[in-house]
Amino acid sequence: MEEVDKIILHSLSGVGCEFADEIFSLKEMTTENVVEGAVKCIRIVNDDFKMSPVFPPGMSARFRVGTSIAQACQNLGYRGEIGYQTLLYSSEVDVRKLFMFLVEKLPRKEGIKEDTGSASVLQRRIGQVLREQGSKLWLPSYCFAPHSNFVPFRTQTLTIPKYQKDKETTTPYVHQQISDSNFFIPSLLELNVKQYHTTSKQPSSKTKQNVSRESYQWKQQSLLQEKIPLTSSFDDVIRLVSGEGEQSKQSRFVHTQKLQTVQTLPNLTNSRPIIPRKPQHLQSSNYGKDQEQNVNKQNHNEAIHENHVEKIKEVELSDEQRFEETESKLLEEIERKETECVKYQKKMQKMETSIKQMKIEIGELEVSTEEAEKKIVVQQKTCQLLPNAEENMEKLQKLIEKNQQRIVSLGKMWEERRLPMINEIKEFKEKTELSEDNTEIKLEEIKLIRKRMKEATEETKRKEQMIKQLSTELESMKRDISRQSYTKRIHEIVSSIHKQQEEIGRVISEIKDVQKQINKMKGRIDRTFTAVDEVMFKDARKNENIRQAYKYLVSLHDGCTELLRTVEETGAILREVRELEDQIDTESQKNAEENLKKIMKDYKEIKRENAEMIKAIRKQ
Amino acid sequence: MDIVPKSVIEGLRLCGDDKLISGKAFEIIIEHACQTVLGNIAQNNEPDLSKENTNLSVAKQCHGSVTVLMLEAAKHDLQEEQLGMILDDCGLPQKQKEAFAFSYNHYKEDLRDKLSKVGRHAPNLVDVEWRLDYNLKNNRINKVNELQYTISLKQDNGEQVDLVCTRDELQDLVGKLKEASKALERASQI
Repeated sequence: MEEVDKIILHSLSGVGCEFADEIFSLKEMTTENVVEGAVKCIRIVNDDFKMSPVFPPGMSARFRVGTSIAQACQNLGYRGEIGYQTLLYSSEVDVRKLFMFLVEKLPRKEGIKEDTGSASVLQRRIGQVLREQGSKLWLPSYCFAPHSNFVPFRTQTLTIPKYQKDKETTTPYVHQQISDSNFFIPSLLELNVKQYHTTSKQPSSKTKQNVSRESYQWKQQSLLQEKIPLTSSFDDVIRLVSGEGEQSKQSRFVHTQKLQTVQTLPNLTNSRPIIPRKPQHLQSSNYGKDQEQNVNKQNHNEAIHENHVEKIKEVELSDEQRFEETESKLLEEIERKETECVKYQKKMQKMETSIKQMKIEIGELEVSTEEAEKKIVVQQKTCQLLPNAEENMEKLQKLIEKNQQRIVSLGKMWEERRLPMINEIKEFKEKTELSEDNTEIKLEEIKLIRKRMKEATEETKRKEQMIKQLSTELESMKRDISRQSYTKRIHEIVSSIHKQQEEIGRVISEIKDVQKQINKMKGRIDRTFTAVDEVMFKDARKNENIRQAYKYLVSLHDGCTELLRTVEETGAILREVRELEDQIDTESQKNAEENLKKIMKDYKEIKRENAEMIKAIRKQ
Repeated sequence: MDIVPKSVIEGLRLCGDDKLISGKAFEIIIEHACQTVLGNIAQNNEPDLSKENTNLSVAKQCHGSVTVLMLEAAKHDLQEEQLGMILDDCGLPQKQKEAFAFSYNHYKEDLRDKLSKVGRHAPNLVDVEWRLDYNLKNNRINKVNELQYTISLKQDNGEQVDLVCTRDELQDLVGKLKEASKALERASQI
């Protein structure tokens, strides 16, 4: 029975009964536990059954709860005897029977749907990490390396220098833009999130879901209204929004972008002016110290001030006058110089434009002179030909004719060459088009394959994770119920039953043998008696002694049969007695009498409670 | 896996061009980036690219992008294949990819360790000392006869939290702690 109890308790703890983890057999269950377990089981099997698993203290309420549970069990198809007393005054056997029935009715876990939502994946991952951490061996703290100090999440605006052709960037390396090395990692993280947010115009859907829509919209609105530049650092934003302004040091927020979106800042108003960014020299962390020093200096100065008020006043007056005079002079001079400067600049611009115009004109003139030179050369040649004009004319005409003929022949040859060339060009064009098409198709294919590859790898990753998780689950299952041991136990039980059956068979055959012997003996006795009876009956008439003997024989026979019958009867009665004893045992196990007494007591209690209630009602 | 912005990917794409930046220079930059993040290198130190024929502004952009990607990958605990996919997107040649992956694997734990130190952290409970007092009487009551537990919880930052409670309160505390540990256990079984 131990195994059965274990299984029942295990499934009860699976249903959500915490007491099941602390006890080891059904014997230890209290009435409250029985009721709680039964109610929880029935709730799972039957969704409509709604009852609190907490057992009420009042007798009549208890009775009601007990009977409704019993009714529910019967509705589910429980065949055994069940009433409220089974639950309230539970005997181990009844409880075991009841729970065996209920546990069997519980739905199996096999059909659990696989949930792939991001939330449940996250939850599972958390669970996994917790499991890993939980299975680690505990070590005292001095076994670990001492924790180095934590770095606060303070940031500074970074820019990644950009490469442009023909231009050298002046921005230094990223790590050189940082004033304190502790700011480096947070600043990089912030930079990444910021760029990610601005480059992907739609904010990633995941964060959007997690943050409530209102707060998100609020944030967007406030961003627009306040015109906080998107390139400003996280610290700047916080400073702007919180309104602390110049006094605040750099904020120490631990969380990154999440906080930015989730944070609610009730004191924010739309009309808040934009506070200019803190100058660089104030951002350093020892700003506070500087201020203190300044204050100290001022105090000191004041002290001196008081001591030498009058002296200083005199000096100050003359000094101030002198300063003002020189200042006004200098200012005037500066203004004059500035106006001059502007004038000269304008002049410079004018000169530059005129220079450009001149250059253009020069270019044009050069072109025209070249043309003129060419014309002059041609005219000189014609002048040379003039003296014997006719001869030269003929020569020239012949030359022209020759050239014309040559042009025609060359044209023919060109045509001959051209045709195959054109065809070739066409072919090549077609080929290139085809190959371009092919490459495009191939590129698309490659893209598709890439995509598929990614999907597949992600899929495998997910599956592997699932396998890991399932295998760990399997391991944890094995600890609870080892199937093998149960089958072994069942095999043992079956074999012992077989043995018992054999034993029973042997006993039965023995009994049959004995009965056969008895029957044989009986037959022999009967036969001998009839034989003796015949012989003696014949002689009985002649001899008085034999007659007497015959009489004795008959009486002996009668006595023997009587004896036999009584023996058989006692046997039957003994059997009956044994059966009755068994019955008494089973009945007494149910301790019906006690239960009846209890039920009577309950009945009286309920009556009393009812009477009290009636009294109370009447009083009202 | 989509964890880094386009600008970073563009920066890495430049690294794939051998004319702009040589493979050797890329390796130097990766090593330098890792060391700066880990804080092993002084701030004014620059990667030594004097021997390599490299455009300085490309090196700067590349350095920034490598640093960001390295940090983000470590933050998300990426596996090598996932990182490989991102590097594929950047169009890096095989040799550069291998160099990056090698450095990533080499420094990943250190980087994650460094990342875990960013931010605030409640101090850990290290040890507990307790004392049980029996309060006999005081100036107002002649017979008090109460138990009084004094418990001091030691934290790993050297500070300690002292508390005094009665037996019931202590039991309450223990019950709460048990509840918490049970809740943790339940969360781990999902």
